[in-house]
Amino acid sequence: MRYAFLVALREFAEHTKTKGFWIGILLFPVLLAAGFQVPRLLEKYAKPTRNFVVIDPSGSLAGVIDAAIETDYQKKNGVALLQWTEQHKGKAESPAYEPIKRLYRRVELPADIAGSSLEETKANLRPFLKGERDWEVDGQPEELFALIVLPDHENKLKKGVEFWCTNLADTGLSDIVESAFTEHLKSREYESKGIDRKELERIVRIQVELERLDPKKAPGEEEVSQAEKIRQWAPIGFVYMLFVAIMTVAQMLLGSTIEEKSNRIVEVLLSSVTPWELMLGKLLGVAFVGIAMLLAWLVSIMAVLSYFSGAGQETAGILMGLLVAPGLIVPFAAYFVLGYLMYSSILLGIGSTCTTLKDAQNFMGPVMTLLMVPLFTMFFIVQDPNGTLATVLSWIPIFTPFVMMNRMAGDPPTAQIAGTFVVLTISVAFSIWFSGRIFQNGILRTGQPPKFLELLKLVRKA
Amino acid sequence: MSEPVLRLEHLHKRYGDFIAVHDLSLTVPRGSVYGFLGPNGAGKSTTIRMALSIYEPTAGKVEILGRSSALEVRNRIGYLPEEKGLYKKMRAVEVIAYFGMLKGMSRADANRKAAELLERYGLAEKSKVRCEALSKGMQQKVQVLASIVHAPEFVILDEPFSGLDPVNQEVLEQVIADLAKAGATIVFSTHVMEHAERLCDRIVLIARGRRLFDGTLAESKRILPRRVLLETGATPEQLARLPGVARVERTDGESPGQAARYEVLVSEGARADEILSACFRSGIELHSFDKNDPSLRDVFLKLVSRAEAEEVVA
Repeated sequence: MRYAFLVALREFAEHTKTKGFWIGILLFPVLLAAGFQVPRLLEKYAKPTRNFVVIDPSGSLAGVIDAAIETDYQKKNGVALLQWTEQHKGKAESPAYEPIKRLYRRVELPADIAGSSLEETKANLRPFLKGERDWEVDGQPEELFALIVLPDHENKLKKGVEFWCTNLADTGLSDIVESAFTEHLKSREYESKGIDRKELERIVRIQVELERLDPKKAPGEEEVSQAEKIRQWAPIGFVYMLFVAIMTVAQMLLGSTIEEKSNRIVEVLLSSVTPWELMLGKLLGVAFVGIAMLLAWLVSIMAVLSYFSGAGQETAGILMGLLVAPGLIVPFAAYFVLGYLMYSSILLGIGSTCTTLKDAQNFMGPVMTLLMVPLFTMFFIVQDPNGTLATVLSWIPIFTPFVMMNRMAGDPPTAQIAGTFVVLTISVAFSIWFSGRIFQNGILRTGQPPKFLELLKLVRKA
Repeated sequence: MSEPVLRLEHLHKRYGDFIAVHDLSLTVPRGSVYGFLGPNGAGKSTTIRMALSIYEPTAGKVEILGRSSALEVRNRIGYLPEEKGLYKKMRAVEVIAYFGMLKGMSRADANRKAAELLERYGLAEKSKVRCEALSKGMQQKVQVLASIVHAPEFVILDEPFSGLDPVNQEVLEQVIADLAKAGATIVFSTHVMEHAERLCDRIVLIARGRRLFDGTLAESKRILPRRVLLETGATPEQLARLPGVARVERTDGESPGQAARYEVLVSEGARADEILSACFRSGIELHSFDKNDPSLRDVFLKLVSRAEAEEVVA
């Protein structure tokens, strides 16, 4: 056992000493923080102001667009102001509120570009729209984002608005224009038919809202809160983390086994330790790496969450509460250990028979495909945590850790939790035993990787 | 102390139809430097691996340090495998210490001894260098040191000289000589006879999985008839008449009247100096007399080619 422990220590040191390992660990909370922060920052800084030109032969329709863009801006600015007030509530000193940036700007068509006919003007504008030429706005070169050509009469609005733009992905402006004219036409219709608009809108807004109640809760607490909904979906985060962690460390294990094999260190090792000690040591060492990685993640995630929940983000606070509650974290720890042992022992068995990483990757293919199943079914299982699919998958040991984690928020029957746990534990023990037999014979093997039948022979021979 | 360090009895190893080792028996006495000689693919490494319980023999018995499995006495054995490799990311001193700890040394002892060995064999300034940054020769030296860091009483080195330049080969010979002086028993395999000739007390010669010879270096040389190189004006017939001469062969071109060079094979049981005194007695004038012992290389070539010829006949 002392030797297995020595092997484990070396394995642990080897992986945790690399820069890549720590970068990988730190990247996770950074990405999480970015998830909270980046959309806002992007809105604030990265999105350029979109310049557009309106050709309006009627002279009366461009105003509709202007009004709609102003309304859109006021609405977004209002939301930002509200958030700002929330954030600076109760603070004595705070910087003055900075109104958000205007995203859309209508620019006048310069006289030298306007042609004698509409067709000529459009042709003149093409190079600007295609980004081949820049547009001067207040002396600054700017890109022309879109050209909107309006019909000469209101009656032709329905099919007569042209929107010229090369960017098909950013539909912000086109959406505003579309809904502005739709509204415009609708109100004209209401007026002409003598319908009271306010009354109509009131009627349209009528909606039945269900009171969502959870029969498992004590009387008086049945109301399903926002936190409950997040809790329902939280397992997905855990399943994903489980998947990433297990895959990362299992790959490490495979890599280091192949390294020892391909440069024949293994022969020296085997003159000092038994194959069992070697395999056990490697399993343990990399397990510690995985645990260190998960702990680092959890701690840094908590740090990020507590920072943002302090900054008035409700979701962050709820997520934080879920992380520290034992209902999810305890099964997570258990399923990590068992899932890790299951997959890494399989990979170790495989790795021990291959001389090159390339050979091993061929074997990895089927294993990876199997591993995708819990990922694909993740969302269905959250929606129906005690349904047939979830129940059936729970009893298949290679899926149990992921699927049961997935179901945890749905309070699966205790008998199933216990039953699948026992099946999983037995399977893990079997998988370690089975791979150990392959490992014992495979680890000194050189040359071509074995065929499947040969693998079975290796097990019998041990 | 008389108990042998390694005893192999009728060892067989076959892989399917291929016989890697056939009925091999040998005994390595304690304190000896023992050479495993043989051409490539002779079965040297397979035999070594069986001796170390890395491979299971198909048949036969292994007794190493008095036990039937090397695993029981693994901490008393040092082993350098034929194919060499190190952990690329570990530093030289760490690797040596790690293998020391795997052989039961405490961390402190292993670290101290590793630094000491690197110092003694000229690698002190490389001790903190990662193995991937070491030259191939240095890596190999580090490996040799890793296999002996725990001061084993029995050291097995499989092809330790391959891939080393002459300077490092000399360092390695020094390592082996130091180990022998410290009382360790050393087995090393090689197909370079010069190393074996300089270092070994005893050798075993293996070809195609069979033992061709097992004994002391001196015994091995007796397999080939001894030769004497002469330079003289006497005729070959005169030389052939001398007692102790088995055969005479002229080794330079025919040029009558001048002194010629001959290779004289010494007959079995006779001594080279008897031929010398016989020359004096018969008044044969010698320009030079050279006692030319057969080299281990000659013995090797002779035995291997004979074995191959026998195999063709069989």
